[in-house]
Amino acid sequence: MNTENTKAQMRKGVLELCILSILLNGDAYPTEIIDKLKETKLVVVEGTLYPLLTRLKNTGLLSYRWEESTSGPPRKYYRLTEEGEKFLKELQQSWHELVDAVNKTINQSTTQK
Amino acid sequence: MNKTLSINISGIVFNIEEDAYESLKSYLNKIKSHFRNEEGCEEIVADIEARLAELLKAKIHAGKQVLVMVDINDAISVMGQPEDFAEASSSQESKKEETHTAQGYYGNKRRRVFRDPDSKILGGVCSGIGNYFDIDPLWIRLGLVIMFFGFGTGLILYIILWVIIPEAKTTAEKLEMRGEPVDINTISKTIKDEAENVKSKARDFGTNVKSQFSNRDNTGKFVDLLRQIFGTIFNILGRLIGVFLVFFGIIMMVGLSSLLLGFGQIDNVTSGEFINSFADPDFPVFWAKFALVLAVGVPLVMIIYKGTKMLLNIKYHNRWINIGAGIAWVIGLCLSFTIAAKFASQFSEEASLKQQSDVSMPASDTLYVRANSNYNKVDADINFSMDGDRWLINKQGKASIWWAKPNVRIIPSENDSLYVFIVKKARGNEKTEAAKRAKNVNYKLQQTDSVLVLDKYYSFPGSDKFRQQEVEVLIKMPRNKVIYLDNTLKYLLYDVDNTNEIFDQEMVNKYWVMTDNGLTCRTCPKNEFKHPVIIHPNMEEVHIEDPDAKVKIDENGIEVKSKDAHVKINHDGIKIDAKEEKGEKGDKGEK
Repeated sequence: MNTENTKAQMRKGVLELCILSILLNGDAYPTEIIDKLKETKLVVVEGTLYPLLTRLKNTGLLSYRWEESTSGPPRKYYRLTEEGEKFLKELQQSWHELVDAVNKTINQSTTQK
Repeated sequence: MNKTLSINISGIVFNIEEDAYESLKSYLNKIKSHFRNEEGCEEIVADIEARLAELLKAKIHAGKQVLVMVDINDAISVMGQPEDFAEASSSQESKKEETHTAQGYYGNKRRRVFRDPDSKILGGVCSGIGNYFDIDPLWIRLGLVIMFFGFGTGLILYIILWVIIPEAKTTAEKLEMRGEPVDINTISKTIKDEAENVKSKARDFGTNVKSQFSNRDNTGKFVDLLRQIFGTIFNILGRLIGVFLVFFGIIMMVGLSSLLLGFGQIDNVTSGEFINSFADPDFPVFWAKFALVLAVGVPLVMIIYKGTKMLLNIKYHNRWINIGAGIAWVIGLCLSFTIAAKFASQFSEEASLKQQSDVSMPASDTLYVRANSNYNKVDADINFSMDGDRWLINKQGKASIWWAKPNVRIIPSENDSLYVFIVKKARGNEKTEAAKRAKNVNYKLQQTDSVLVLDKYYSFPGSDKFRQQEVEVLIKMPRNKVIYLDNTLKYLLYDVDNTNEIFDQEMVNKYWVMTDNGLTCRTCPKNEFKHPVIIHPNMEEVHIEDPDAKVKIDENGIEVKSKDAHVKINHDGIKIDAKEEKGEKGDKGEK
C-alpha cells in the first residue's frame, strides 16, 4: 500500500466538507477559500478548487453572485444554499461519527501494542 | 527589443511578450483538454481564466506594462499543473465517466506503465509491470529470472523495458501507475468502449460526410474524425499484435540462445554436437555464432522491443536504437554470408571411389542377396535424420564413428558376367581431400557360394566430419539369371527398375529375373492391384480408386461400379445392372 495514494484519497474525501464549512461562515470567492485551505495544507494548487466548486454548484449545494473587483475581472461569490446547509449538517455529523470511530480504533490498536 | 501581443483574458486586456503568450496558451490548452470530459467544463475553464487574469493583473503596475515569462510561470505555479489537481477531480467523476463517456480511454484515470521507484530492486521495472497488471511483482521477477537462465533472454527483455518505460516521478504519475486495474473486466470494458466510440464516430462521420459538401470549414474536423476512428481501431489491433510479437520474439530468442549455447535439440542431437560434426577445427565457430547473434538475434530483440511498446502503449522514440540495430543487422548478414560461403566451399568438390568386388555368378544361376547386420542401431549415442537419411553416431571419447545405410542398385550387365561394385563418395574443399575422405569410408561385402552378404551399414570416422559420405552397391546382373532379394534388404534397395513397377521396399522376399526390359518378378501373384486401395481409418469403408471401377465396402454391404456394370450386395440380396446382358447374370438372391 502506497501512503501517497492513501493520503490523496483521504484529502479528496474531506475537501468538499471543508469547502462547505468555510462557506458556512459567510460568502466567499475562490481565492479566499483557497487561502483558508492552504493554511491547513489541504490544497496545494488553486486549480484543484475550480472543478469542485462547479460540481457543487451544479448539484445545487452552492449558488453564486457576481461582484465587481478592483483588482481584476468580476468575482464569483459562492454561498451555501438551503440544501447545501442541510447537506453540510449531515456531512458534519457523519464526519464526527467517523472521526470518533476512527480515533477509537486507532487508540485501541495502539494501547493493545 | 521584444515583440508583444495584446490579449484579452476574462475581459481584461494585457500586453504580453510573444514567448510568454505561447507558454500561457499551451497551459490553457492543457487545462481545457484535462477537463474535456467533466461536466461544466467551460465554466471551470472560465473560472480558472478569471483567476489567472486576477493573478496577472497584480503583476502589472505603472512601471511595468508588459507580461513576461516569469509572470506567467508564477501564475501557473499558483494555479498548478492539471496533473497536480487530478487527485481532486477524478475521484467523483470516475464512476460517472465510466458510464457516460467513451472518451474515458484517453482520460486521466487510464492506467499507464511506469517504473515504480518505491518498491524497486533494480530499476523498478517488475514492480511497475506488476502494478499495471495487478500482479505481485514477485511473479514477474521470478519469470524474468527464469528467463535469464533461459539463456539471458530475461536480461535483454529487462534492459529493453528499463529503457522504454519511464519512471513514475510525480504523485500524479504514481496514481496513474496504479489507476484502474488492467484485468479482463476493464480490458473488455475498454474494448466495448472503443467499439461504442467507433460506432458513434462512424455515425458522426456519416452526418459529417453529408454536411461536408455544404460546409467546407468542416474539412479539418472531418479529417480529425477519420483519424480518431482509425486511431481507436489501430489501438486495439496494435495491442493484440504487440502481445503476439513479444510472445513470438521470446520463444525464438530462447530457441536461438539454446542453439548458440550448444544444448538446443535437433532431433536428439544437441546443437553443439551438431555443429561439431560439420565444423573443421579451423572453422570460425565464434564468428559464426557472433554473425548469427547479429543477423537473427538483433531482429528478434527489435521485435520484442516493438511488441512491448505496442502492448503497453508506450510512446518512446529513439532514432539511435533503430539505426544501431539496422547497422548491426547488416554487419551480421554480411558476416553470415561470408562464413556460409566459406563453409559451402567445403562441399565444392566431389570424389568417388569405385571398387570392384570379387564376386561371380553361382553355378545354380540364382544369386541370393542379403544384408548382414554389422551394426546395431540401438548402440548409437546419437541418432538423427538429415537429407532423408538416418545417421547414427558412436561417441568414443573425443573421436566418433558415423554409421549409415548404403544404397543398393541393380542394373543389367553389359555381358554375361556378374559384376558388383562398391562406390564410395565424399565431398571436400579440394578433389584430393574429398578422395581421402571417400577412402576412409569403410564398407564390405562377401560371397559364399550362391549367397552375397552385404554390410547393412557403412561407417566413417567422425574426425573426417560430415561431407556427404555415401556408399552405393551396384549389382550388374547378367540377362536371364535370377536374383533373390532377402527381407533384410528392405531399406537398402534404392531406385531399382522393375517391369512390375513395384516399390523398392516391396521387392524383397521375391525372385527376380533380369530381362531386356529390366528385372521381372517371378514369384509375384498375378494381377496385383494396379490402383491404390484406400481403407478408411475406421475400417467402415474400402474404396478402390480406379477411374473405371469403384468398389465400396461398408456397413450396408458391397457395391461395385464400373463403366458398364453396377453390382450391389446387401441384406436385400444381390442386384446386378449391366449394359449388355451376356449369359445368365441376373441371379436374384434370396433373403
